[in-house]
This record gives sequence, structure tokens and C-alpha cells, in this order.
Amino acid sequence: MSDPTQTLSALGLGHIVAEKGFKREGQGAFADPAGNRIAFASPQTLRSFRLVLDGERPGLWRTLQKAAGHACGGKIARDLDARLAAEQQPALASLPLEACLGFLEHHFSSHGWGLLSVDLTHAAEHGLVVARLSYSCFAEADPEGSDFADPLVAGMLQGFFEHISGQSLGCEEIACVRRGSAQCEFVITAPERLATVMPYLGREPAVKVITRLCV
Amino acid sequence: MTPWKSHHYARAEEFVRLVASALAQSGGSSTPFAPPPPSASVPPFPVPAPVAAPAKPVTAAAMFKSIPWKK
Repeated sequence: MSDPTQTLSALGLGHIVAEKGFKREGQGAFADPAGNRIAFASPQTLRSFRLVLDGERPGLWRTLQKAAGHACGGKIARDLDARLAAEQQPALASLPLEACLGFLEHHFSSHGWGLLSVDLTHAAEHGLVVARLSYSCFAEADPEGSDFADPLVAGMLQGFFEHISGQSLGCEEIACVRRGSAQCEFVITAPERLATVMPYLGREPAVKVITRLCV
Repeated sequence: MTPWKSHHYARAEEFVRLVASALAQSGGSSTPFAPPPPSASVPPFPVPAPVAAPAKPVTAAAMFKSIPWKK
């Protein structure tokens, strides 16, 4: 896919992604360009939360992260819609596909979550969207743990794509830097289809899981 | 006729005379070339194919709604 900034600039939307990053809001607060307050968490804090929650109940950290990400992904899309509406621009879903995905990729990189790319190779025939995240901040901040590091990202992608498609979707991480992969990989499709590959996650390489979903 | 025009026509007549002379020397005809009558079946110039309008970009909604999620 082409550079999202160029795509958005060609549509007259470049100024939205050209805005500066986080800024001091006074009173000891930071905010993003949309005005949302930003709080920074050290890797140690993230790891501590995970250890405490998983100590309370195994798997609780993942469940909470996924739910938080889902809410966050929907909010990212709604915030972008509001921003576009304020400028009398079409809503996110009514933009050309590349522009819509460009906003998502830019949002990830501008928040320091990593470099996201969305792969639609299997979408038309197999109903499967693949997303890849390089330099995941979550895998880097918390490299220990036996499971995948990015349930928050999986939830965000689910929430974002549900908003755009108007469908109930699921998203699962199928490969993670924490487990030795070159990049983190996610699949987005109908929840019932994802359920069929759950037993293989973490046991089979990403390419094999994708093949299972494309059969 | 102004001096400029008379000079122009004199040069044009000289040019025609020189070309006719050169044609006669090379074995060609010095009579003016008569184009064949236009044919009804063959157009005089190739007709360019109609230019297709640029394809409208696919919107995100159209793309994601067309995906067979449940397959």
C-alpha cells in the first residue's frame, strides 16, 4: 500500500495527519491532537498489571486488554468521523479504502504503537483481513510471558473494522514478536470462523493458521 | 500590393517552380497531386477509442461490506 500520508494529502485530508503529536495541556497533563488526555505507562507498570491480574485469575489480563482495545478501536473510528464531519468531509467509511486504512495506520504510528499494515489479499475470496504490526510497543514493553503480547491491538482492530463494516467481527493475534516472529500478525473475520482456529494459535505458524481460514 | 506581400508571393511562386522542376527531373509528374476521393468504408483518420472515465475509488464501506466474512 502507498504511503498513507500521500494518499490523504491527495484527498485534501493531509492536514489532519500532519498535526503535531502529544502536547502539554498545563496542569501536568498531556493530550493528543483530538484533545484526549494521554497517560504514559512504563514497561514495568504494564508488566506489573499483567502479573497482578493474571495472578488474580489466569487469562484476566488478556480478557481485559481485549475488551479495552475493542472499546478503543470503536472510539478511534468515531473520533475520526467527528473530526471529518467538522470539516464537512465524508465519514471514514465513505472515504476511499486507502484513505480509511491510511488514517488507521497513521493513528497507530503516531501513538507509538508500531507500524501497521493491512493486507486484503484474502478478503474478497476468503472473507479474511490480515493485519501486521512491526515494532509493537506492547511486545517490546513486556517481552516476557508465554502468550501473545498484543490483545489490546487485536481488540482495537476488531472495534475499528466493526465500525467500518457495520458487522460483528472478531480479531485474533496469530503470531507475535514475543514468541519469536518477525512481526505481530492478526486475522479479522467472523467470530465463529475464528473459533475454529483457536486451538492452533501459538502452536502453528501464522501462515498455517491463515491457510486453515482460507480452506 | 505592399512591398512585403509582393516579395512573399514572388518567393512562393519561385518555390513552386523549383519543386516542379525538381519533380520533372526525377521522373515524377509536375502536375499537382490529386488525392483519391474519400471512401465511405475507410475513415480518413483512425478514430480514437472512446476514453473511459476514470474508475471511482472503492469506498471503505463498499469494500468491507462486500467481504464474505461468514463465507
